[in-house]
Amino acid sequence: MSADGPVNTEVPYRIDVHHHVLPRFYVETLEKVGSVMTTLGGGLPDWSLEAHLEVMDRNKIALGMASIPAGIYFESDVSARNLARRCNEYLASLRSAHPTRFGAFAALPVPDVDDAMEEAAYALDTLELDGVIMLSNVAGHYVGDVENDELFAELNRRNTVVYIHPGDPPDQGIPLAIQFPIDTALETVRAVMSLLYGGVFERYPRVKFIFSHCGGITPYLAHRVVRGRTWVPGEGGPDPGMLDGAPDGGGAAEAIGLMQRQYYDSMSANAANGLRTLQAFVDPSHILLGTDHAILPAPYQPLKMRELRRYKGFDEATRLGVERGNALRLFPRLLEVL
Amino acid sequence: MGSRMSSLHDTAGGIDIHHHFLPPSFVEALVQAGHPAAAKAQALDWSPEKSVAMMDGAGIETAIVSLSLPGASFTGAADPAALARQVNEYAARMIADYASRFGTPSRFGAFASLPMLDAQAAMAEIEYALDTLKLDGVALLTNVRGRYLGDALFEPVLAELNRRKAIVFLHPNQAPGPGFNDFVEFPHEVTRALASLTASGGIERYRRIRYILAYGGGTMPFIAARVTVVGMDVFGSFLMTMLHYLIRARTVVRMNYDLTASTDPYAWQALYGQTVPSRILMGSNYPWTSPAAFARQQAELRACEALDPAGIACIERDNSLKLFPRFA
Repeated sequence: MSADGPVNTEVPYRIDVHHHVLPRFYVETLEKVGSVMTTLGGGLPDWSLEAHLEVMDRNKIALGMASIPAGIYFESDVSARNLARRCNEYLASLRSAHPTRFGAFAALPVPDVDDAMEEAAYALDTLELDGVIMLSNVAGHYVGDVENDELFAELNRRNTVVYIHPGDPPDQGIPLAIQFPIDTALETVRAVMSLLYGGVFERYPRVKFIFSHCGGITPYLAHRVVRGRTWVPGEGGPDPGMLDGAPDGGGAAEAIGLMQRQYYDSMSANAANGLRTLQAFVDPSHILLGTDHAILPAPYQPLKMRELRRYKGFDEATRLGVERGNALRLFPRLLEVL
Repeated sequence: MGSRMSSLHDTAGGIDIHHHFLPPSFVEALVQAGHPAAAKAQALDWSPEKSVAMMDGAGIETAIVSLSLPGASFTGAADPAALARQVNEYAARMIADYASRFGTPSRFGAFASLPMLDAQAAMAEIEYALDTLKLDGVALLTNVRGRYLGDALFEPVLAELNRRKAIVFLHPNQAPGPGFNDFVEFPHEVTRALASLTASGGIERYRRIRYILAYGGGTMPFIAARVTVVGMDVFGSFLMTMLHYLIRARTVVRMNYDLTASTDPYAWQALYGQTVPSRILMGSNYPWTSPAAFARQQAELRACEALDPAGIACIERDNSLKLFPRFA
């Protein structure tokens, strides 16, 4: 079997890289620390593995790259190190119980980099998980910040796939009811920028980043991202000269190129407008199916799948690549499993 | 008029709906308040003559000006109502002045500024600016000291603008707190304001307001089909997306989009997919954006495969004429 081989679409065939599981101990922790995920927008759904697999079947999702949906570091007495270990052992057990249905991205107890490196080694070597998930920011530390340099050096050495997911946006005085739903999309742009400006994309080219929600708003804001390269934070306003930064000068083309080398999941880009924009930005071979199951309410999933099927910008082979083949190339282990 | 070297069209120049003015009373108020934007506002050294020179160089016949950031109600402003009145009167004088100088009313229009934190004063200013001064519409900032447009404080103002079917130029303000990168995140303010109006229901209640969304609608065209807003209606067993809601409120098809900074191939994809070309209006963001950057934007527009010359002419002039027929 190869990544581009014939696909039987009568049975579950899709590979989903944006795929969350909600073990009870983890939800209880979120409740205990008062995470916004448990309080806003109706809170978290009731979750059971049986119902989860049923939704996968109904939407022809063969395999999900399972991850936990939010942070493991909280400003509380919860030990991030212990919680990460517990999550990763849970993910490993889930995968061994259902090897054809789940892969897994390990949680890391950043911002403590020593703990994170130790956990990465355990999760990747001992548990043999498929990659790691990192949030855009943890307690205000963005993922590309220099503190994480050693961690990325290690992940680079291992050719790790790093799944980037939005964290809670830091307090900006914006009413939470606006910030939580709207600025989550911005968080992924902030992550991209911290990795780009922090030099991580350049220094650690063997790390393969997948950015969730089609990069948040990254494709749309890409030209601002690279024109903003000489921006000095804290100056109090958009600099009058900023829009003069030539999009084809000052490293802008290279910066766009570095962003285009990364991977983006299709979650919520499915609406044709988002997909069109994403496709203008990256080669379709770098677009991976993401569903946000089980956070996204299940009734959305058939609509999302239909939107993707009806999107006219992909021919059938390209769409099958997005739904499956591109992920098989990124995770060749799955060729043995599926 | 002979100095208009590079007219966009043989007969009439373009209409620039995103063009800022910084009258002396405004710059002075920023300086007096010690506002962080004061130095930059002074450095721009704006004058009507400079605007006209830029317009002539770029083939712009008409600029509809709006007050630059941070608007009339910035933190530390001594008297926002008086400042709004002063800048609106300045705009009216400038419009009349250039009409008599050029023998045509077509060089300047203006969006009125409002003292938004004082609803009564804002209502009085709407009446004065639109009825007496006959300005062309109203400029609203996305948030005023952290209060977004859906805030209950702004209800009477929106109701009045709705009653008048006013044209509202919705422009970003600085986010209330420091972001990761203010330059990159600036357009997203428009989406935050729309989210606030969506959650409050204001977008539906006041759907006769004719919006022009700055910066191609901010990030809204790219994300509206996926984000849900807390407080919105539940549709079946799940929340509608922002786009569903805008469609149901019958507002999205009537929104107009400023072209400023939206011609790069990615932003353009989203904008062009979101709306119809007849709803896209040319904007320059002068003087914050330089004439050179504006020229590049217009070159990018011309390179858009989706548009023929007639379509480009509509974006540069005709679409705006439908909103502002007095410039015909």
